[in-house]
Amino acid sequence: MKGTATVTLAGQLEEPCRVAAARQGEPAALEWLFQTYHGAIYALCYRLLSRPEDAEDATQATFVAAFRSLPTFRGDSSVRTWLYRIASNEAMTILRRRRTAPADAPREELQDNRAPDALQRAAVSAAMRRMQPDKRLILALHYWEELSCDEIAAVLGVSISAAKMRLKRAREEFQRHYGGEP
Amino acid sequence: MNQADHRAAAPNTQPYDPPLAAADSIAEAIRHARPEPPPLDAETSRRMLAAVVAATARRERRRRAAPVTVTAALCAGCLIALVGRQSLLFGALPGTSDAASNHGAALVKPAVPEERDVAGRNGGPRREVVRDSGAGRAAARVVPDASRIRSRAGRSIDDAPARRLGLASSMPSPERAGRRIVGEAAIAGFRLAPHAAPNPSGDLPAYGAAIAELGAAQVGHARLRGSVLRTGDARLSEGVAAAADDRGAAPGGHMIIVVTGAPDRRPDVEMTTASEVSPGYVRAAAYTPIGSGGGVLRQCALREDADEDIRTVDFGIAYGAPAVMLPIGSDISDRTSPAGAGADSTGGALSK
Repeated sequence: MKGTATVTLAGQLEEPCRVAAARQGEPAALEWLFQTYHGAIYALCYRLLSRPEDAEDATQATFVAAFRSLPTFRGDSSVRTWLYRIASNEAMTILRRRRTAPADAPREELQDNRAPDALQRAAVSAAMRRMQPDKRLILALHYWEELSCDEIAAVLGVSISAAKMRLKRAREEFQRHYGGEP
Repeated sequence: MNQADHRAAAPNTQPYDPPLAAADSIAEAIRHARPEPPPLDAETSRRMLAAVVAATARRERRRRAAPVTVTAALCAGCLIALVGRQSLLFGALPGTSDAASNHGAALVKPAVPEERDVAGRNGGPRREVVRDSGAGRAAARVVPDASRIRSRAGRSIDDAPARRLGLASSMPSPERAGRRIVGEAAIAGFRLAPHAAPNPSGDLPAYGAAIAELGAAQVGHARLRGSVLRTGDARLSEGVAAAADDRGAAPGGHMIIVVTGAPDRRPDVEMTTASEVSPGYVRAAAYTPIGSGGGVLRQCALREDADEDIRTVDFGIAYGAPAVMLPIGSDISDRTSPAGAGADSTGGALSK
């Protein structure tokens, strides 16, 4: 499943028209853009930030920035990738600002975590939280949002080979935090 | 007893020890642990969309509107953020030294003498006058070439941390502070308008105006036409308004934005005071975390085309932190709720 965006085939076909209308500031098109993608953006932000309140703030900031930048959106990448890029920047900003504060465990983790499955999830989550924000972002995009290396490259604004290298390094860092040296 | 036996004997007391795994199982473990966000309810989504659309519409309206000159009153931390690292600024707000050092700048401020009771030699109380030398300490952390500053400024030396740096952090009066501001500004190459010279009586409005000129000179570099004024005291706000008046600013076309991040400051009070002094000038106030107001203005300034008056003042995000915009007279006593007390996080006051 690619995030939680509800983009159907018909939606994909009409997306260019909607985006063109949104670039003109058409309210209905802007609303469509928000309704189509805000769930996926919110999910990404939550997975990166772990706090629903921060995720909501980042989501709102993402769409404010996106609507502002729409006139300059050239369509070189998909709207989804473009929005992910903006959301990633917003989330990274919050994460960096939070750098000195202890990372929170997601609320779901604070519930019953004695089951083996829950223990593993908690261990993964803890390892992710200990990672550098930019590496955590790459793993989240790849494994949680199921973006390909091409798409990650577009989100990060780097070459595909650079994206692959960053993914490899992120995986190595995760493994160090998770269970030992790779 | 081996490790497994230990765990069996004391379940749930050991941290989870994940097995060393191959890349595939690592990937699987990460995928499996994907956090699912709590559902975003319809009301939250609706409010979010409304805020986003409103912010966009406001920006569009402002883009089409006639240019306005922006005057902003900043807390010292904000101004420092605006000017950048290795800058020396001059201010009076208690607590701004830390903001200065956070932004990599040194803040020289007049000390506010404070009296406190301490234990005397015979055990009885003794009143002691304390001077704030925080600015000196902040400077010590961030000014690497203090000797050069000393030789240029030729300041008097008041306390030990400042002495080591050649900086004076203690100034006994606003008058001296104002004179020093003018002197330092001249050394730094700033030209001050006549009205910016501190009043010989050392009153705070003149002091505010002097700082305003410094701010304007600094911000001019960032192509923000207008003035950036620093305030923090109601009387300084009078200086802000007076400075705007001196420049022939027209009510309605000139906007004063009071930005403060100091936790003990009340932007609504600042703004209301200034608006009473010069009705029509003051349009909005922002409460932002310390130091972020400068970021707001810098974003505004740098985003605009060169040689154009500011058309857009967008206070939506300051260094990633939401700036809360308040209509004149707002009560911001509940600062824990940005949405409360008539404020919104997208610059609502500017749409007035």
